[in-house]
Amino acid sequence: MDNNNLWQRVLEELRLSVSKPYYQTLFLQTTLISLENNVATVSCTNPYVQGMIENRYYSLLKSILDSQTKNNNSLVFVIKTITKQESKEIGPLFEKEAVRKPVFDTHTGLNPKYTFSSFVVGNSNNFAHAAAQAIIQNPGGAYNPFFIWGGVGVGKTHLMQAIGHAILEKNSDFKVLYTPSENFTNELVQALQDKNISVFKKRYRSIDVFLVDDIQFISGKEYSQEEFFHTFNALYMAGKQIVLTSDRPPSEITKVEERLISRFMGGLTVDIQAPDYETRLAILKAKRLEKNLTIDDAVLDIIAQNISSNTRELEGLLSQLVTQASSSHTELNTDFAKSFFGIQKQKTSKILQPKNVIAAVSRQFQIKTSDLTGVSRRAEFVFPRQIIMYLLRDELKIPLVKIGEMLGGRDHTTIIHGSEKIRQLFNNDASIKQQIMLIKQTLSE
Amino acid sequence: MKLVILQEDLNKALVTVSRSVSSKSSLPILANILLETEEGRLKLSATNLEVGINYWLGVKIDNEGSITIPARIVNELIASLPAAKIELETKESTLFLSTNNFKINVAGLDSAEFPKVPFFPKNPLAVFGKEDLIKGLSQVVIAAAQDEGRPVLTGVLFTSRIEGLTMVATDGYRLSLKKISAQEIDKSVEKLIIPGKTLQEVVRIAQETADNKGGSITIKLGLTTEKSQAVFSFPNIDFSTRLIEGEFPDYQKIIPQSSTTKVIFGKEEFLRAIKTASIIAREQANIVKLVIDPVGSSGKMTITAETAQVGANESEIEAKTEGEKLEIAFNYRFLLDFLNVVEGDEIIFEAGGPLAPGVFKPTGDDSFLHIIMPVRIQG
Repeated sequence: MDNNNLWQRVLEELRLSVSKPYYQTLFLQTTLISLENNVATVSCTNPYVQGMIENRYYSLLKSILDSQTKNNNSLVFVIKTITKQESKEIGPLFEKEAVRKPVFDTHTGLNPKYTFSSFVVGNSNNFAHAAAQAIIQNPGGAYNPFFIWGGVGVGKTHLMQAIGHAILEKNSDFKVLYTPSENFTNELVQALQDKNISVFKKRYRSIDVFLVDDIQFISGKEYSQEEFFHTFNALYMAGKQIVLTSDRPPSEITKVEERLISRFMGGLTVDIQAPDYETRLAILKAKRLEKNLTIDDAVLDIIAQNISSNTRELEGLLSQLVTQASSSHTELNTDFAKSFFGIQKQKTSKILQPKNVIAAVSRQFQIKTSDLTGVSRRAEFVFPRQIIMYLLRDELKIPLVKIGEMLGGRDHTTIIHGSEKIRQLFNNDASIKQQIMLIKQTLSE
Repeated sequence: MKLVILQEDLNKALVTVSRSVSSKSSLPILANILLETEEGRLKLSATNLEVGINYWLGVKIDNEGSITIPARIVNELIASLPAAKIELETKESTLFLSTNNFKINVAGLDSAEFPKVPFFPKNPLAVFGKEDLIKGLSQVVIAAAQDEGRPVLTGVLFTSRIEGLTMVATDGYRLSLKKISAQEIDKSVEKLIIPGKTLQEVVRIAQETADNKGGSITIKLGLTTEKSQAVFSFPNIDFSTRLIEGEFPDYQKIIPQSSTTKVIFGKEEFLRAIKTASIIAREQANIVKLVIDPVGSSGKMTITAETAQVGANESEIEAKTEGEKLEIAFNYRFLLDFLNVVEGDEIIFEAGGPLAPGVFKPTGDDSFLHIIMPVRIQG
């Protein structure tokens, strides 16, 4: 019998002899540390408890232990405080060391944060991602140039730099250079001033992977364009990989020479759309992992639902939320997130009654409800009546026969015909769609 | 037991001792106070298993003895009596109290059940002056965490120095450090972590302590022989507390060694400006902003608060400014906590940027340092 079991039995027997409060306060947290040479070492959590047991319960404890072990024992008490599991986070004051600025690689200009492991693939960017993978397998051979375009903060730069990182990882001797087009222009101007344009040319023409960000900024800068054109050609002819990003497709970049545009379009052009809901949620979860935050999925869900524009904003809001919660010492839960976004607790949607629908339609078309539910088949009554049929069937899911009864005892085939007709018009006719949306809106108010 | 005591003395002792009585223990005996004659004096003891107190009173003893009595009831009873001599007598487990006009008996419990409350050991770890200790503890305890989730941070770390002790507390958002002078320091004990809550009680007891002869009072700190509890010894009172086990975070590395902006300003002016700003700030995130611009507008510091639904506030105070322009925001509660305990007329504030910890200290006093983590602000 091991010490734990033995002590368990002793305590169970003891429980019968002492009152419950004493048992709980004094004995519940004791343990038998060892039993050697008839000396039992018992740990207590607290010196007061130790004193009370020693003074009042020593003989009782001893007699129970003796009868359990069939031996003559003596007891020794030691104090051992229970140390609770310390949570590792000890507040922002101590986090200073952990937060380090990303060190830009001065050689390649790549940001170490932007790798494929932190790139979330979703519907909006899976094609671009797949193309990028092909390029990594065969730099300069698969798609050259690779032209990525999309709105602000959708991940163009991230994808581009990830390509750079991945190629470097595979071929460490490759010369990868990431540069915003603005930098290209500035360096060119500097080189012209310093009169060492040949150094500039040499630098840019000895690259294996050339990543140019925001190429649209080259528009209107003629000399930059010319130099870029030559660099482009030189690299392209040598089979080097070129990746470009822009906020619009090549054909829409203005004030750029035709020959440059046509070269941009010579490879593969892909666009990245703003992330959809699932991707946004996945991005937030990735950020949570990256920043080592403890946030509920439900909170991330609220953020993903409320921010639809781009990833950068998503990330910004997440950290804003975290800082606000920690600075106001409140827990970051769904209530906090909701109040942050100013979401009222949703009112329970009231249950729509068929008569409300009929009333709403009658108001919209200025026709008496009795006419709508009556027998007359005059054209001005029939169309609104069909809208009612559509709404009752599609929105309220009322059985056809029942709708027929409500609208003056009409046959269910009439209802099918009427609602189908409106559904078609709803999908094809903008003005009718608008009318119906208006009715729906008055119903939901 | 039979003795005579003055109502004022007993009442004062009961008020102090009662604060260490357990308010919610399941053990009935812990809701009681132990009365026991000891070497010609009456000893009152109480404990909640976290802290314990022994309080000695001068009395006239006819018969030795002891009893435990319910703290709450006896406390109220004695407080309601007029100032006069009270005769205390025990018969079995009942305490009889009588004055000229009152006769009261209270059912007690056998004193043998009562846990032993530790005494002050022979050798102190340190000896403090009363005022030094009150001031020092008050300045540090404010930064101890309330949240029991991180037990170590609910305590104050004591480490020994050559001429005294260093006390540090932090809740992860702010940190308070005080170097306190002390005598007879035992350097064999490297560090102790004492719960902040019980140190607040130490401050209260110290404040209540007065020397009859008007001399200066010293307070001793020691460890029980098993080193499981710390004991503070006041004249006629021993107050003991459990210690917190664990590793205190390495606070030294977060004390900034340099700064880019430095301001010196008057404490009262600053306090008033923060209080005004807090009226606006408390409606939302408790954020007040300090704007320091040594180049553009030297000689002043601007304090602002803004809450969308409520309004905005801006105040200017005179300040000596040095270094770079800085806009930094703090939770005003942390600022008020600090301002309420800091001494002196002038404060030095230094920071190394809007997101770097802000260091506050009084001018001409290197013994006290308070660090507050700023709040990130937009724009």
